[in-house]
Amino acid sequence: MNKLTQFYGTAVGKKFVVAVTGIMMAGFLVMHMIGNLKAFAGATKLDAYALYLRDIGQDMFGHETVLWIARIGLVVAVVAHIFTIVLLVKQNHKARPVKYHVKKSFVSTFPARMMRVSGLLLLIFIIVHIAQFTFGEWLSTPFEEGKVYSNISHAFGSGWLPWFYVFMMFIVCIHLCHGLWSFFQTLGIDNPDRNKLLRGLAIVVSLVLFIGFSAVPVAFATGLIGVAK
Amino acid sequence: MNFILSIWRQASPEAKGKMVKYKMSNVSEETSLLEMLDMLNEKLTLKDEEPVAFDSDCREGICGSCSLVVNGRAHGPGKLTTSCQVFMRSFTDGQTIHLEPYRSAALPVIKDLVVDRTSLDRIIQSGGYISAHSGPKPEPNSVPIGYDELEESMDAAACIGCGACAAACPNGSAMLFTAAKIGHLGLLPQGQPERSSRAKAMVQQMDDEGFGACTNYAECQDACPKGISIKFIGRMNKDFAKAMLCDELDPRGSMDAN
Repeated sequence: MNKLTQFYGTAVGKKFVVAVTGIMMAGFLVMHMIGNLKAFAGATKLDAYALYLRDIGQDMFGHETVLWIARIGLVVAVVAHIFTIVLLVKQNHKARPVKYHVKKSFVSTFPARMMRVSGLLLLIFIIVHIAQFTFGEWLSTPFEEGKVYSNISHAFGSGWLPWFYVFMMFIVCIHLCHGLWSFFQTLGIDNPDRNKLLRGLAIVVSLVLFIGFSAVPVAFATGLIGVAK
Repeated sequence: MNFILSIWRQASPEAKGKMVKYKMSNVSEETSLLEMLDMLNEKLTLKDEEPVAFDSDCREGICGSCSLVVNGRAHGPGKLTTSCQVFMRSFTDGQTIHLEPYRSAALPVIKDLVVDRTSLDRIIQSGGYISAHSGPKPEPNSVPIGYDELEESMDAAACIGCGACAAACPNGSAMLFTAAKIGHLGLLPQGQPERSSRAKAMVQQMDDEGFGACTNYAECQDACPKGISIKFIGRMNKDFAKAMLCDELDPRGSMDAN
């Protein structure tokens, strides 16, 4: 424990925490996207998948145990990620007390400069998203637990909500373009011999997540899939 | 060529500074930026005004003394160059040139464009050395070093400690500097005995000096006059994490047996 607190006390240690919690969340997003795409297989398949998530490992650990471990793990990752970022941002602000009159950036990418903005937007999105589809708040139509397909069909069937989700998925994409590559750089895995590959991988995974996640709200909004109105 | 110079003037570390404008005319394009500042100072001295304080020593791009932020860029326009190697032909006639000191809590302004860079020295003092015996010179071939390691180590050792990385970093982080110093010794066999303690001590000292944290913008790599790669930052992180998490905190002493 002593080792960990000493490690966390340094900027490099904090960067490791941000990187590792970040990659945990990115891993979750990949699973989430694959799960979402079951919407294209129809209502029965999607609702069955939602039930299956509760049943994972239940023969060994009991009903919903694995689900709750995953949930707690994710909440811890989100909180640790944000808390550590706040500490680092404070350190960085203190490190440049007097600003430059002429301020320019030369090689930093747009996603890199937007990390704090995109991160803040994502935090708001996570709250809205969980409130809507886990607790059923702020939806214009009745929310029925377990009826995943019909719930999202009603939510995304019309109005601006699906496009808000698409926009937020774009923000996820922007955040991950820099975040995924940063994981490799921070952990010292990146090197000039594989830099292009890892940079490319980060962009490809971000784009796949954007397209995969956006497909569902767009399909419901355009009437490609959904329950009959 | 004619220029308008906008220069940060600050009388002392505590004084409040401001940007002051000066006009320079008939400057030849072969004049270096620092030579033009010499010309300006001559003018100011003749007018009984305080000359602009700025750092320089070798004026051939190898000592790391000059430290200007020119139009928002550490060491001015062009890559792989120091402020002293910037010539007026890099600017356009009539251009306003903004000259500012490095901005970092750990590199405080002493006067005008001169900053105190002893924080970088203290980072080196904390671990940027090897313990070598002081006896007779060893047989050179008794310690074989592979060509690739040698070259990589030399790439890091090229750091002249100018501090441009911290000046260019939007977070005021000196990680490229520290990483270069840790990397250059850590790649060589002579640097192995202190590899762990060096990484721990220098990273800690860097934080204690008040430098910021890296967010992988790579602005430092672009500003570095010696083109040191941010791969060394990754290497430092790895060395540091390994040292912190894998080393025993207390390797000596007896243990409880009951």
